[in-house]
Amino acid sequence: MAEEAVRKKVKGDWKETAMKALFIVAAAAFIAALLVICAFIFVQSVPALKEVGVFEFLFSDKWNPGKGEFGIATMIVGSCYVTAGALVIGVPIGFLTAIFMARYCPRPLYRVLKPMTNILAGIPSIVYGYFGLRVIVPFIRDNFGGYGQSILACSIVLGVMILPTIISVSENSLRAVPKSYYEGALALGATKERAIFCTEVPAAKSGIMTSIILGLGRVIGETMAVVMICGNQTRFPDSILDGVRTLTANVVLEMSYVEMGSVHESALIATAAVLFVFILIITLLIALIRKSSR
Amino acid sequence: METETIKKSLTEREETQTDVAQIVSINRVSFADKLRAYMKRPFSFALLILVLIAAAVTVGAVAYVVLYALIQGIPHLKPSLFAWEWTTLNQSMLPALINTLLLAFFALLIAVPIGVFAAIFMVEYAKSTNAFVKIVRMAAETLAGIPSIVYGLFGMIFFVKLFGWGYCLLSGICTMAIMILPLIMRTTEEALKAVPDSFREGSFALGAGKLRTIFVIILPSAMPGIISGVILGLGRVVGETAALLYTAGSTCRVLGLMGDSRTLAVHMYLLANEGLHVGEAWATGVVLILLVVLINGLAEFVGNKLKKEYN
Amino acid sequence: MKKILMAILCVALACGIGAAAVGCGGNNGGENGEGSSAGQILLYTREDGSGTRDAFIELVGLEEMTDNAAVCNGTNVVLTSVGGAKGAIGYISLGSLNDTVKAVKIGGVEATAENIINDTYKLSRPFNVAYKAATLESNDTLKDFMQFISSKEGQKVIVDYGCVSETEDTAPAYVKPATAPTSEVKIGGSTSVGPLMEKLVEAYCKASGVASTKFTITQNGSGAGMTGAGDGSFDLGMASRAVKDDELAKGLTAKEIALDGIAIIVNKENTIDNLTLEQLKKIYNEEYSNWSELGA
Repeated sequence: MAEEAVRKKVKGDWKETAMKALFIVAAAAFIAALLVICAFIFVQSVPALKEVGVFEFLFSDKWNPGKGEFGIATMIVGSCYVTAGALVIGVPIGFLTAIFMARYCPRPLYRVLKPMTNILAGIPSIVYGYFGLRVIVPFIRDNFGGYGQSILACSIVLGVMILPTIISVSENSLRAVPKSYYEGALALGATKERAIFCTEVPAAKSGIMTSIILGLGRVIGETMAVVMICGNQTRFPDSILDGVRTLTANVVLEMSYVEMGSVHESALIATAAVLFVFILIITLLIALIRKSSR
Repeated sequence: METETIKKSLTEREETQTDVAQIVSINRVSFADKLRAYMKRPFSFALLILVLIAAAVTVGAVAYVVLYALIQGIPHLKPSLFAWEWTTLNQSMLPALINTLLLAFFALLIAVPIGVFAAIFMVEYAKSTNAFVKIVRMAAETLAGIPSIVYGLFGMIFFVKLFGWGYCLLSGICTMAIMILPLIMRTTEEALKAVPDSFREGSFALGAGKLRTIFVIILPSAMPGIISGVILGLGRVVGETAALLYTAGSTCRVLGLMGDSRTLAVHMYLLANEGLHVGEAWATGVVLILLVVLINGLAEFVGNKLKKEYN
Repeated sequence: MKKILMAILCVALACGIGAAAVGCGGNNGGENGEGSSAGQILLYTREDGSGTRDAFIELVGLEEMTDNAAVCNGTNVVLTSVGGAKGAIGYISLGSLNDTVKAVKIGGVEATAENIINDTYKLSRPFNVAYKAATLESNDTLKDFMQFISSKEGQKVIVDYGCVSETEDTAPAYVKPATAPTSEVKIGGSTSVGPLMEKLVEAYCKASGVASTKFTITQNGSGAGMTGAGDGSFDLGMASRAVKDDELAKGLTAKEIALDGIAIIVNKENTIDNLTLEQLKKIYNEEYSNWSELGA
């Protein structure tokens, strides 16, 4: 009611209307930005898709720009492997660390641990790339054989990279669970672990899922760290010690060599478009999780 | 007699007090008790161990990455790396640093007003059931998820080629501005939501208009949150490589907005790329990490200030 | 509910065990590695479109590069990989060679500047620049800069950088123009030529007195450099390979500024010192898979 009166009073004020319009324009800028990016990426990828054919482009395993063969099946598979590997390594560690930080960590230790995970989030991806190249790759090569530049190396580096995302989002959602859940479980005779894992974790399920999907988004879009350690071979891998090429690596590897306006350039932009579609799916997933948790 | 009874009652009280203390000590669980309890439930014990291992792995990973970068980089940190003028001999990072700060400043100059205004609209004006709001939120979330390499490609097609700006700081600035928009909006939205409704009601009750309420009451109250968002955006711009490689160029000089410019992360990439200046590249990496840690620390500090003010 | 929990726990357990295994593996790793991968040949190559790769494939006579070779996105990645892996072989620009790896002789000839000039070392490629004739006429700085590159001083910079100059002794000395040129020069292209170009620009600015701010050098790849020089977004394009015919057809004039050797590098512990081009071809065709077949 009060707001209604105020609104009536200021109706004639042109400043209010002008600023409101400005705010709406600012919000609309987001939609405009998204549409423009979508339009340009998709329009620019049309020539390649026309030349090669959508089916051929997505499902052929031959990538040979010099001969006019453009098939990104190996890269889609590569991106999926690397993403899955990073999640297998990053999610359990991140999830358990989040539990540690939310429920086990003594206060003084928390004050050290929290900034530490934030540092991990702040390290630029190019530094991760060189770290992987100098430390992880030789380690794998010496211990497991092969090139070292492999799915495993990527998975480890990216698994570490997504730790802070998973930890902070999961921790927040765990902390948001009412204390009474935990206390109730303890009162019924559960051990601390049982109380946490059987009452609090299910209650924080949607937050934990969101953290995993956010991590997934980060892994699939990572470029500079991956391109140096993934091996970049355009073939299907046989084991996790084989190298693969991811979608992002394909773009960053060859973009600087293409002739402007060529099919090759368009094919690389189409690779980015496929990546874009993946991100759209992930965003939709997050939205769905939020909806179902409400 | 009287003193006797008093004494008696006192001792009685003491006794009951000791009783209470005993009860507490019965409830206290020693380490051995805990261990015994865990032995009865090995599954719980295994979980505890796993949680501890995971935390240790996390700490180990952080320590390893950071220490490795520091060990590789610090021996190569020389005063000549901060020379005013870049030459092929000193490979100074100062021009790249200045370019980075310029780029970050202007990118924020574009992104902050748009992001903050959009957040104001979303929180203060629109109802959350509005279809327009839903679309804007969806767009912001999608923008937040787009990988930086896609932004880089877009910047190259749009700003560098279509607008004909070429590889220059301005192309980089516009690309980065779009990239950090969703981050700024999201943090601002959260900061605005954290401002108690009583502030708004009080302001309206005193006869202030909506606009006045927003700019005089709400925005100042939400300022720490907004600033921490801005600083996070800054951190993202500073650490970005892939997108800038295709938009801002790679000349290591400060040439202004329309000049081809190299930022710190690109500088590190190019130094190491030909294998000629790997040591200097790590030194640049150290500066980069310190810069980002500093920026994030600042964000944390400002963010905590906000929490203290309202809790 | 319980099943989900069990699933989570299983994954968590697996992770814990994995982490432990990695932690334990770190201590005794060195010894295990030697046995397993000493003899296997690990192929390292560069990305499609790279000038170094194009030149290597052409000179060695490879029809097709195997899909199994690891693709590195820069000289540094090749150097680091070959420096660390015992069975590795790769190729890099001679200017970037350092003592973390070993360069092998090709057909008994060592990779040195002299051997490249007298044409006994076969693996070399030109560093090219390309420009439009019209741009050269209208841009006085570029014209003067091109003169500097072919002068004695310019060629000396090239030699000092580690590249090969065929005309160092015969080139004329650089003459500073009477009035300092005023135009701006945008250079763009190959990341391999980039560092050399930076040196050249620096030396030129010193010799001629032109402000260094007149030059911009964008390192974005040979292809982008040639296209840019063609459409006018760069005044001078750099390429670490021969300029293609269809690029010349767009009105570009190419000029070779230096020769760069391609060094074939192996790990320092590898006993191989000498390879023939034929062997090299077979290695990259995967006809050999183990160093022992080559007598190492």
